[in-house]
Amino acid sequence: MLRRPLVVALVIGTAVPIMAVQRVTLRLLLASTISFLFLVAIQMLAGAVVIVSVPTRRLSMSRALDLWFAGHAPYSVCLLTVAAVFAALPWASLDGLILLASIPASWTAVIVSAYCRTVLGTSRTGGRWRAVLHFLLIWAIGFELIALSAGGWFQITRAVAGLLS
Amino acid sequence: MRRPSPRASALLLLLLGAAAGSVVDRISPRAVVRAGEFIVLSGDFHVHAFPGDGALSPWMLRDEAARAGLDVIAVTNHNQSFTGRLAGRVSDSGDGPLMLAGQEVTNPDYHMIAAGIVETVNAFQPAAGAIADIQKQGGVAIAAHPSRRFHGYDSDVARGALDGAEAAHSDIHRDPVFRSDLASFFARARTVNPGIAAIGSSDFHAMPPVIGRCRTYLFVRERTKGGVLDAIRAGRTLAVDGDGRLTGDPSLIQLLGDARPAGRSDLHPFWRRLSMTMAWLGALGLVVLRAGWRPQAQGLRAVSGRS
Repeated sequence: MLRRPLVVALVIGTAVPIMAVQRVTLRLLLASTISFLFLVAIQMLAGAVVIVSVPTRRLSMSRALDLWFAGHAPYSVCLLTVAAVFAALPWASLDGLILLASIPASWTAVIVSAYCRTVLGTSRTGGRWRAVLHFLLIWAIGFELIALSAGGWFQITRAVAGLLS
Repeated sequence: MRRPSPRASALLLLLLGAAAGSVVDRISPRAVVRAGEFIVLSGDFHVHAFPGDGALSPWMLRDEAARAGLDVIAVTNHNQSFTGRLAGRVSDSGDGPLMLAGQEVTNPDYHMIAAGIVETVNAFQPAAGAIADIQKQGGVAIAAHPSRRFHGYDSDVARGALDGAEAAHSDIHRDPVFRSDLASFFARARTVNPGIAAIGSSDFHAMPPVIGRCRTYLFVRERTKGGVLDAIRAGRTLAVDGDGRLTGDPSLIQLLGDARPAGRSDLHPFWRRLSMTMAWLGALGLVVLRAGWRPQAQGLRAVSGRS
């Protein structure tokens, strides 16, 4: 029942080599898919937190997680769009594309809220606060990972200051 | 006969694209270029890798470096040397471009490439201290993109101790102010450190500019990691920007003459782009199409089986 998470992994595994080296080979596809499985694992963890918060749900955890990834379409489309932009226009600026990430972020919040009501059977309010919880969790983990790989939080604050100026 | 579902067709398109990409993925053999008593190598000493803030693992980077016509790279993630050391081991265990263990020592006041190190360098100390730590490990210290916003290299002590400085960096092609910053830093550094090596780097992470966009020509006595580090320490390098312009010791430019190590090899650009497009369309199909010809937009109610 984890077909959709695997699809997400495959989409990331395709987008990364297109973005990085403007070519896709079986080796690159396999290596990138495996390398970035941790992103799927983070999404799965965030989904599990939301799902576990509804003990009255009628679906099994694995089925609920599989359906959770049906809501990954905005990020997947965004990732593939960014990959296509860099493949076609190698001189494209990253700054504009960072702003583009706000679209899937807000779209995903709507989807998570709908997921909670439709799949988990929560109230409208319950769906909304779980969407907020998910948003905060994902972005907190995301920024922490970026800070870790960029050498420290001072790099993020400097980049944000640069964007704002 | 049963018609394959749209998702199965999309997956097939993706795999066919990747297979086609594999078939046309060929690298030109490299010719040895000599200048006087030296072998001329092409290097990129500022490359980020996975795990870390790069997209490609060291195994993939080695292949990509070979495609880019590079003989040596340094894997330099921010404030960690694990990935760089992993790259060093990968390099020791096979053919292809040399890979040096490295780190981008990332301090609010300076960024510094440490190439040829064996352990992580403490980034939270003055630049002169980091340089001493790197050199104690047998590595070389290179000022990374030393633009006006970094003040860690303001002292003559730090500039005088550096082994190299980036005189060409991918961002000079986007920002003329940055280009002039690097040129003026290199000129100032040479006044206190005449032997400082001119370094050209891509600062490749996960998207263009591609690895090797800016690069370094090294005049080595032997094609080994030690030979590469010796060339940097001795200042026997030229920085090359993306347009092929050279920066460095005029006598080395004269020695090089018209000889140039081969650059990026892209033997089948049409087929590479076609296979990439097929894979991209396949991946998009996996996202937007659903089994049974129903668009994803029909919503979660349908996929959850609730009425």
